[in-house]
Amino acid sequence: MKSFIRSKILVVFFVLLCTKVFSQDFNLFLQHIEEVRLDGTTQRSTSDSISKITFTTMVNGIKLDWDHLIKVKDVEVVDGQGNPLRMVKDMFYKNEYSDSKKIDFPVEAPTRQTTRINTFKGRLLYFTPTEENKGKVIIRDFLGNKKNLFKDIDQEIELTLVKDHELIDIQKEFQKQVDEEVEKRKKEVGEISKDEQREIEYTRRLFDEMLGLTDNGWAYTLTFRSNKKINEAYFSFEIFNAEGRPISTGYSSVGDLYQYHLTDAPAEGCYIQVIREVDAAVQELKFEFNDVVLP
Amino acid sequence: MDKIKTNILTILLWCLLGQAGLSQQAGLVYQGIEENRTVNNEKNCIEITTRVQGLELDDNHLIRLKDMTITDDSGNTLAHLEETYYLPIYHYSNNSQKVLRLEAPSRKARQISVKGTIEYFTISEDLHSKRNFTDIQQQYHKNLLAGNDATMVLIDLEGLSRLKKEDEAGYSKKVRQLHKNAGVGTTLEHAKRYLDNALADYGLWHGEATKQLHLYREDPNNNILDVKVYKNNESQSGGASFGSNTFSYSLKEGLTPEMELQFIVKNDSAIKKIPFTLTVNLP
Repeated sequence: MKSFIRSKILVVFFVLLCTKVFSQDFNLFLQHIEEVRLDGTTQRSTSDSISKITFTTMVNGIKLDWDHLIKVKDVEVVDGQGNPLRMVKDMFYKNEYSDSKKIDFPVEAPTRQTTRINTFKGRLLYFTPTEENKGKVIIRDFLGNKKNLFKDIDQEIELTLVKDHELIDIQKEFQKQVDEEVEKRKKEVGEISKDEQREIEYTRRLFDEMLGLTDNGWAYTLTFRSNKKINEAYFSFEIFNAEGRPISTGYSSVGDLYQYHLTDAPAEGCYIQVIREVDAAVQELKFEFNDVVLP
Repeated sequence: MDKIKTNILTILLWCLLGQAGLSQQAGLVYQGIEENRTVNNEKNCIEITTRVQGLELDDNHLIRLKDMTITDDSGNTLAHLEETYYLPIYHYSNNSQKVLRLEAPSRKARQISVKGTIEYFTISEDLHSKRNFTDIQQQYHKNLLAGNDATMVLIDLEGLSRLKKEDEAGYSKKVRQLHKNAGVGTTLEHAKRYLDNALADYGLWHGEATKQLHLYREDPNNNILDVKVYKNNESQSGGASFGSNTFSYSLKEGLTPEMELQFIVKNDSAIKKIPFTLTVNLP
């Protein structure tokens, strides 16, 4: 994240334009402004709804696809009266890497009498994972590998393939743990209620189904043990067949176990592709708009 | 004794105060506002959500808002935008919630004032806002809404058609009667042209004559709100169509004497006008 792409920001707007040059390629265009101001209860809002203003921008001049992604790092907005306006990160706000040119910046609305925004600036993260910068990791010949699959890639990550016979042991161990918990609970309350019993049975069944020990509907699965939460540690984790076609459709997880559902049987030549946000694969792009007139 | 008197007086006073507090004054109350401002081609607008309170509302007690003027605190008048179809404000309905859609004021404005009238419309036979007619076949060729500032004349197309074929002079006489006595046509010439056209269309129509009601309609003030035919309280509507002076009503079954033709018609005695003023602080 230390190296910046040289970027040029073009602010195209109907009243007052301001341009700041950072590079020759990257441009962020301010395309649209929409403000929603609320009070009381209406058909679309409640008394605690926040009035907000959304700046819609478009990224241009850089490549965007599944190997070239972008998201917001930080934003600073100051209105014409010098008041900072914080980002509104409500249930509708998502800041995830995407290949979309469009980026929305929802911020709390300024006072009604404010007619301009002094500064609207921030940084975007441009994520270009490749095998060279280690943002993209390809793990081959892993089906017979019992060791840590990340051994030579990242010392902090431990990812191992769990064999079917190990799953049976894990299942037994889990059921034993549940039995112990049930006994402990019995000592505490005397008799376990029907609701609690149903919950215990549901937990046992869920675990069995997740690990494919009962007929869980998945024809082919591969199970991994990971010391990091896969959904948090990686941008994506997919399994491909030898021809380079993705065969994983998702996963179920319990504890540190992750069971991947596959469309085809895992066969020789299949490989894992992990996309992860490492410093060398991410560049910061600065942008700044000044003196933006409000509608 | 004095103590008892004091107690009775206190109780009476509480009762009176309680009643005063409980009786809601009829009017429009503010619930919320949403303002949308944008730089694209859409209009900046505000939607003020209000509720009508203190009025009984049901199928026979309807309201609409009328004669509204909206100004901001700089004296600028704000235009109305189209009403939302699901929450009508300018058409009668029994929904107490009214959403006013207006063009947005400038950012400098802090407050807006809404002045207007709630029209409270009661549908009842006593107030002549509900007009019922049984034995419909006996109602041909007279203005059913005389006294309601509107004309609705049920035309016997089958009978007129026969008359025109068999007795041209008798038909011309009937046309003059329909114009003079029932109010069909603004002029005699108009009445003749209207009926000739209606009969020409009828000649081309191959439906069942008893399943169609044809009414001549004049309603310059839009007083007629609804037309229905009922049989044992069940609507017989098979669809309706409007022309400039024509209202055609299709029936599910052939016309029988027990069917009831019903008009819902506005008139001054059925409408109570309640003025309101609403001040809204802008968000």
